[in-house]
Amino acid sequence: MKKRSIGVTAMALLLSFSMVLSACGGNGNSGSNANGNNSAAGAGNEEGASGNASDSTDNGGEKVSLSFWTLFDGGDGANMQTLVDEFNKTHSDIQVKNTKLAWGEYYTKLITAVGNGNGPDIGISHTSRLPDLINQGVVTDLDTTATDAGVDWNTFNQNLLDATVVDGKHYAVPIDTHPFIMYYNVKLLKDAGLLGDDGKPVMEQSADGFLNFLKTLKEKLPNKVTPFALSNANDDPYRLWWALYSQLGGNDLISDDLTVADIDKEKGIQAADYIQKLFTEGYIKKNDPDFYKNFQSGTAAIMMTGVWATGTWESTKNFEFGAMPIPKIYDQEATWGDSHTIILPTTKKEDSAKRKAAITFANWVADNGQIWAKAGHIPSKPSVLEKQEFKDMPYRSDYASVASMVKFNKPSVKTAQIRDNVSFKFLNEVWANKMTPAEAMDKMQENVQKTLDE
Amino acid sequence: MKMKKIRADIQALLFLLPFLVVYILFTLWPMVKGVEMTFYKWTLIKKMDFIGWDNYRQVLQDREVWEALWHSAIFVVLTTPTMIVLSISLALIANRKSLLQKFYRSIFFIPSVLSVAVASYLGLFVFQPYTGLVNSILHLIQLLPGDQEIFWLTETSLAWIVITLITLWWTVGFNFILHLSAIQEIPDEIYEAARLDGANNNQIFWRITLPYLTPITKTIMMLQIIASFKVFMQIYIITGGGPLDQTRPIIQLIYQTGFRKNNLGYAATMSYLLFVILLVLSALQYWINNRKGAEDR
Amino acid sequence: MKWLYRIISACMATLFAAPLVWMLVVSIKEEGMKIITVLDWFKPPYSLDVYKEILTGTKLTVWIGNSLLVAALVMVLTVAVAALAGFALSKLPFRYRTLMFFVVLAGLLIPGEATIIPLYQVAKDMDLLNSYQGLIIPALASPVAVIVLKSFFDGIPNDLLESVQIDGGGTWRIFIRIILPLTRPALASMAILTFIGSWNNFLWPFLSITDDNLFTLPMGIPTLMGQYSEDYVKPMVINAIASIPIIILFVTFERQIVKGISMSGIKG
Repeated sequence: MKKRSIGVTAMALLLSFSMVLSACGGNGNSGSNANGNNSAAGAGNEEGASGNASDSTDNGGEKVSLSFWTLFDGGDGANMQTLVDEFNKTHSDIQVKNTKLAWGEYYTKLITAVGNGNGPDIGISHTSRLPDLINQGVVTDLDTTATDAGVDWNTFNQNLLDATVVDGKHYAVPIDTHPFIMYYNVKLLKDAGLLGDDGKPVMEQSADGFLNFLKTLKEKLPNKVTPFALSNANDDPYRLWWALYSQLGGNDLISDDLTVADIDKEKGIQAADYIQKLFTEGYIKKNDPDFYKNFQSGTAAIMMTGVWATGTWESTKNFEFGAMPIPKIYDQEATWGDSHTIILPTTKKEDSAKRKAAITFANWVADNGQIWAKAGHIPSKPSVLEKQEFKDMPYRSDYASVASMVKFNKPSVKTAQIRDNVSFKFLNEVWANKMTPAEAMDKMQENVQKTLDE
Repeated sequence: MKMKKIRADIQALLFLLPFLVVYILFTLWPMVKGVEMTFYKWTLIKKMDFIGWDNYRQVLQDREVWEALWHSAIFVVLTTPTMIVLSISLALIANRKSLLQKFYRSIFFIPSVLSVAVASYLGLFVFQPYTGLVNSILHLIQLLPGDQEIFWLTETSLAWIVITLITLWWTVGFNFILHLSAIQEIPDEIYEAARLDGANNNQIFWRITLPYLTPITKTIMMLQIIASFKVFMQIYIITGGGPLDQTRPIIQLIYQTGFRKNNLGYAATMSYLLFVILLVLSALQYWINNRKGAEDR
Repeated sequence: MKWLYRIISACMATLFAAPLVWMLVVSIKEEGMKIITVLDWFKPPYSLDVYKEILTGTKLTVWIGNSLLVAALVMVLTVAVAALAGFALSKLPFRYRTLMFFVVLAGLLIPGEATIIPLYQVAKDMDLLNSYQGLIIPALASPVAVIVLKSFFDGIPNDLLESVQIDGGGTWRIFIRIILPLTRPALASMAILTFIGSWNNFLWPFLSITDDNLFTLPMGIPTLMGQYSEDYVKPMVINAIASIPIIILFVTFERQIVKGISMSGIKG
């Protein structure tokens, strides 16, 4: 009697235990399906196959469902969604589902997910990140698939394309260039008497010229207006430094064979010193967390950031602004820039139909660069620049030429680490006036080498 | 007889089984697996080369590791004593009979139920320069001239203050409840007797209340030290470890090494270093407590 | 003296409430308002548009749901698993009981953070990453809960159990009918602490989840806070929406929660 009851109860217990677990498992799947956004969790279930038959095209094939991971915020994010929607509308046999990930954690998540077999079918990568992703086996080469889908590589801007080719293999489809440029508030410049008859700022293109320009802005404009809206840390001031360093003839922080830290110290110091002055002499508001908003709401006269801000400024009511290449402060024209590309991450099992659909999507996005250009980016196919739709957009033509001035990073697998863990770290201290430019360059040289050796 | 014993064993095993399965799979097995990982170059994608003791050698001379451990220790030192003082003070406030008694109890505890992300972001906005709550109030009451700002997160020492304040605000609730219930358990007769003997409020606090709170305070301190050593999320959101990695705690470094730098093997090695340190801390506390306990008796 | 006391009390309460009040006030303001002094935060116009935008345009509610679901399941299962194990260690005679007790006790010394990297690898090998199971199951073995509950069970006199056995009740019945009802406050206390622990668990979901439908609140919220800080209204609305359900839950169960926490102190 006793024996049986123990057995029964124990069984019941184990059963109920496993039931609860499987119940929550089931919950998990239904949850992610109901939300319609299959990304990693849906990788196992064939969601696309259950799509309604009326949607499938005359080729009678099943609808291919693709998960797509992006890292775009704000205006970029909205425009990418528009592209995806438009693509889905015009391609009844393919369904792309866009998942937005946090900008700061995107690459970590991508590498992690691909590593554990939960990666997406399509992803975004900056060109600067590509060597690292290739090295880790996160992205696949596209040549066979591209040939299958009839992609013509000759239609791309060759400079951009070259950066995506390693050992003769294509690894990504570039969709844009996004250089670091300058924006200005038309009304404020006019108030300060710095707007020419052609509607362009009056500024001598030199180190002193730009300083004088800022000085006039500071003197002529009300106290609460900041002459120059710029972040005090990380990306934007680093990009400005990179631009000036390159204008001086600096050639990245590492040697051509990518193994040795090779900062041109003198040029690095000169560039950092110039920018530090902008902070210490009060042209840039100190530690301003609202620098974007300040320019947007008309309390800052100029601003420097990537071209992606164009879309944001355009959608701001009653905001008259202009866009131009950053001033040529030193000898050579150069600026910071990077390029977004579409990649096909490694997946658990290779599905050639999915891959073909994915590259069709990527090529379509590049072909329709005029939509993506609404966010501000410069399209990756020269033919798009000739489209009337693109030409009709204001501002873009003011800076489309900048694409050729971009000084890209050398294709090192450590580029991102060097930037995030070394350059940001020490340059931030220079901007905060807690380290001299010379000290920073020494530290950077030392730590770049350390990063390369790891 | 033997059958009966075996039956009893099986019966007990069945009761223990759910726990043991999970415990072995997700606590003990990772401990073992982790040891394997420390001997390899091991990325997020796969196991790479066997590298022997390299990770161990490296971790012992890695300045970043020791700095990060030091930052975690700073956090412990900053939060533990302040936490206990604040917790007792709040308990005294909420213990006084008044119309607001229940309100005080709720208001001191509510921050503790917030998600760590909410508490951290809220704190971040409160200490934002120019438009943040603290700076704008300082401007309003003219403690801070209109043209000056305090940049809370760019000076290491100020950043630590902010991290400490937000942590206290967010986590004091639990300890406060523990102290409050301990105070409420002190028998009224003892207070009455003390009053009859002519003790004033001050004397009552130092001679009666505080001694009664000692055991629970010791417990809180023990838990607090170990828990604080494992701090990560609020610092990650508030300062990101900056400025110049001067507030980066060890868990953040482990995360960055494993997932940002894609080096799980080395990250696992750091985890074991942390494990050993926590073990030593626990042993030390146990030893101190037992010795003190013996003296008390 | 009395007044000083009152003033200090009021100041403390204000300090504790201020960030929350500010959050709520800012969250109902219209976007894009100029803020010159702190008083501007409290002036109209008010608007609930951003609430609507966040509730419909983001997955915040999904994440709140995930956090609540995971916390609730972890709570129920952890306490169940721990009660079973604690009962065996406390009341069932079997060989190696002492050894088993020490094996569990050793778990107290293993901090989850120290094993998180290998745990990631183990979960990956078991294909548990990126799933509700992966969020829940690894969290279920809580040596603390086993030991605390065992010590409560120890307090139940054995005579009581024997009387049930004489009546013909089996071990399972003893567990269900006697042990659990008698230690209900302890179980509740354990449950509450487990719930809050899971609610705030950040590191594990952060590492193991990549699908945004499975995010819990602590990892979801940072994805909504943009790269650059913008207007305060949106972040505050996000904070407010993420906090209101849990605050309501707290207010509803305040008595039990406070009691639960105090209980844990007595034994701890």
